[in-house]
Amino acid sequence: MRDRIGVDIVSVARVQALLDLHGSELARRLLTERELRDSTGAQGLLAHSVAGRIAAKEAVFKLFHEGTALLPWMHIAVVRGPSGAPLVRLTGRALTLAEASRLGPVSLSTSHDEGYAIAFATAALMSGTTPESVRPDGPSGG
Amino acid sequence: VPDDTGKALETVTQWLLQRRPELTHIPPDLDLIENRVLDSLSLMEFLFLLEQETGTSHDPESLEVDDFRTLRNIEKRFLATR
Repeated sequence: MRDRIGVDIVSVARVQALLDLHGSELARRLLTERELRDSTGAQGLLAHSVAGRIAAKEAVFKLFHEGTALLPWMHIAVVRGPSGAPLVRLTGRALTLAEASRLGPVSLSTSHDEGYAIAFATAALMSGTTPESVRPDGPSGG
Repeated sequence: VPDDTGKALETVTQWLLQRRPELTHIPPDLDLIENRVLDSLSLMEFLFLLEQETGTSHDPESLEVDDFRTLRNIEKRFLATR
């Protein structure tokens, strides 16, 4: 069994600038209602929390090895599990892409410091899937 | 290029240049994705601003990365029919 990995890093300052410029309107196209609630503090949307979720969605999307479609932001949801660790919920287009890639359950870890949020996602390729690196038309096959 | 389309294309070009101040010019066929002028997050900001500017919304699921890959593609996909 082989794994796929995805990683992404997002500048908190960049997200803060987007929130300052567009308010929550743009965020509503990136985060689900629950994600918006979980990313809201007493002063409104928290840039570091929004940045963490953006990084998480980007990291998960990279697992799909999809080079054509846009990132299906609203179909990759990051929720807090019982232990506090982030859990990934795939729906719609994201679920279709995951199934097409024959991905197993996605594991996710996120972290942020003052300036950046980072996310790391992994998923096992289900048995019967030939990793791209050994396919005749894959990166090492040409 | 119709006048309205030309103005809209210039607005888009200026917005892209603001994102990458080290650039002074964006050739029509420059790959905006490979050159990191646009990424997943800025694509959504672009669609958001386009909707505000034109009043026309676009379903992200109906779009492909190639629609944004060059200024020429952006003009063809989003601006030419205005």
